Amino acid sequence: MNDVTHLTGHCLCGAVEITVSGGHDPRPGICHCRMCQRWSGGVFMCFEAPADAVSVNGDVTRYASSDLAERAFCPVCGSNLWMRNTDDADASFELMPGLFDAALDWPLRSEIYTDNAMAAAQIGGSHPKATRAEYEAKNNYVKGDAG
Amino acid sequence: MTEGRLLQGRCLCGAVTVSVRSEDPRLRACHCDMCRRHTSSMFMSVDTDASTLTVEGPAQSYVSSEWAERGFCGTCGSTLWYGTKHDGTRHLAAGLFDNAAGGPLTLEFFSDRCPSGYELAGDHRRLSTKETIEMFTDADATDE
Repeated sequence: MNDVTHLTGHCLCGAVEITVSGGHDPRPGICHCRMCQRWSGGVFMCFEAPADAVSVNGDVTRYASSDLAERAFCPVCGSNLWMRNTDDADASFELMPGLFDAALDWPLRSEIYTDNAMAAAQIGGSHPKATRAEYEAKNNYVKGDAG
Repeated sequence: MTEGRLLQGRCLCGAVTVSVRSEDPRLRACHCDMCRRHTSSMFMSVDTDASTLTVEGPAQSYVSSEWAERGFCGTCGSTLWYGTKHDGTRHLAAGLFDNAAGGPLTLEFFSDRCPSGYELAGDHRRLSTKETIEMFTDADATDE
């Protein structure tokens, strides 16, 4: 599903502004793997935007969270910004929906690593769900600290 | 006097480590605008005895309002805590601890601000924006 609406988002302190010129999937996905739990502090959410639609203004710190990916955040306020594969130059951005007012009422796309979800983070809804085994059977993943 | 269970946690990169005791590691979630923007979803904290907390590593603090500061790891950007200035309490992020120390969700703040696309299941207490502000106006205050 593609939405050509232009989006603008910013981190908590305003130092980083991100614009998306369209082509993104207006449905965030949730991940409960241990890495995402640690980074987000609880429940990790992201939505996909193609690389050529994303522009970023402001200083960003990128942390190489694995051989496969980077996680970017604002070095001033710590707001989580995106996760992105680093093994592909055209990799799309998995942006944090909380940055964008327009994303406030988007429906969920999916929820993965559901068997690793905290007891306190049981998400209600009829969106597609996958346990760790179900997800890893079909997707590339980071071995080790996932759950 | 019970001391509470020792909880040890770390951020994603492992540079920041925390050690704290908790007699009752209940979880609370906040959906206010600032928490949503900072974490992308909601801020979830574990109830701990703040006086027993030790933090090591490159923890950074961002003063997000008159009443609070938010801790994060300067290396990897992991959310660490929401700190209330008036009492110096650091409300630690649930993600620091494996399985969030097994605690149940007991409270949602600003529950009416939770985006419509998702909800936290359970029969815990849910406070609306008005109820949250009333609760904190009595004691301390929130970012809002």
